[in-house]
Amino acid sequence: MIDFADPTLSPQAFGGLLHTATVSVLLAFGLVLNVPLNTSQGSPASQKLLPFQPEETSDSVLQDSSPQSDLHASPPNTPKPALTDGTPVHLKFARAVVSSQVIAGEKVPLEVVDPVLVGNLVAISPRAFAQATVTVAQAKRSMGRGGNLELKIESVRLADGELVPLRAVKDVKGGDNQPALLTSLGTAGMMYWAASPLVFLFYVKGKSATIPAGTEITAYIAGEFPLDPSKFHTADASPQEKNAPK
Amino acid sequence: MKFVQTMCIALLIVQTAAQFACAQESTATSPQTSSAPAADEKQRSARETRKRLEQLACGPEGVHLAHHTEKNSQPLPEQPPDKGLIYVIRNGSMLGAAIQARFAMDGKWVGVNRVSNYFYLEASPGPHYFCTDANGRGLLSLVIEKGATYYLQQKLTMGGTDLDLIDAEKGKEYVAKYHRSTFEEKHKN
Repeated sequence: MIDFADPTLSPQAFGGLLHTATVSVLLAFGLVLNVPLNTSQGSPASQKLLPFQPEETSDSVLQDSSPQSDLHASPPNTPKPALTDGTPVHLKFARAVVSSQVIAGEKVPLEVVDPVLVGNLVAISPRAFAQATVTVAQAKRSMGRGGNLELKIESVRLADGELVPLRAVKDVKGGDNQPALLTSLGTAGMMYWAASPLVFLFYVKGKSATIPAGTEITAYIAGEFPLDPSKFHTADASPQEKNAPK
Repeated sequence: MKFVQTMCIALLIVQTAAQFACAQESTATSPQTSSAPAADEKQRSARETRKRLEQLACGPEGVHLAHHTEKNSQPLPEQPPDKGLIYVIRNGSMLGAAIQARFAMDGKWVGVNRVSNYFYLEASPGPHYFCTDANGRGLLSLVIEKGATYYLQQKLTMGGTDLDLIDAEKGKEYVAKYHRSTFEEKHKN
């Protein structure tokens, strides 16, 4: 507690303390928010917190030299990064889906297996949430006939929280509904294929169609989605860059 | 002394600001790391699912439909652009030929077939629940898309009654070959 009546605290000393404290506050916030401060212009009270402008940091007396400061900086004429149409996304089923235990219209959760990178940005994080909808569900039938299960792959959550649509095939040119992909999964003799650009069809003979938890499928980004670099983390150099769209 | 005081204040401020920044970061990153919410949900058993689907799909007990077969060839409906068109077909198997096969959608009986019959109905886009009832009940759930045609087959077997989604080629073949059903609700006095 400062005693203003204390004769030992001279006005000059008090002013100096106040000035130092104010400078400390601005210095601390400047460090935390990565905002360059120009202390050469007038009193601290008249200074404004400037928005982050990488090109203008050369004018600043205080420059943040940490590696974080230029993570999201991009040179002036660089095109904005975008998640391109047809980018593959490796997904796995978060839980088992059994045709006798689901009803059409229900949502099925999936998880992203590998991160999806756009340049150096992690557009989709590993374990990110993705979703499919059950479009056909039929339990096993009489006389030993198997069940049916069709899923429409819906969307995946980007690292900035946005949801973007997915589809079942890489390329939709031509628009025909012929199976574009036929994959046999070792477990339970199950097969699945893209019955249309949107729908995965699963088939298991002789019993209710079951997709075991952890079953991996590949879906594709449907559309072009520009990314705001300030909302995404960057990846360290890693072999996972192979997933980046070309 | 003044220097020590200033340093203490500065340290305090830096610590507070760092905590604030950490809190902001953890809030911003939480959507990325959250696992799928539905993954933790308890899954229904097959029995529970069947019971639920029966409630959604099948009509009430005590409703009877009087059936008639149109022997003359009937014009087929045009595909409505904003709805799905559903053909309900019963094949020519003589197994259970004396039994009518009722058909319900979303908890209401909407038609009945005898052997080698079909009828059609329209459905709005979205999930729908279907039930056929003869010597047992067959259930099916589908997400109907607008502008699409679906062919459902009522199949009576030794083991019970099934309701199958069949491919369009086979469905068209049956519709061309079979006769259309007409029906009305029969009230018992």
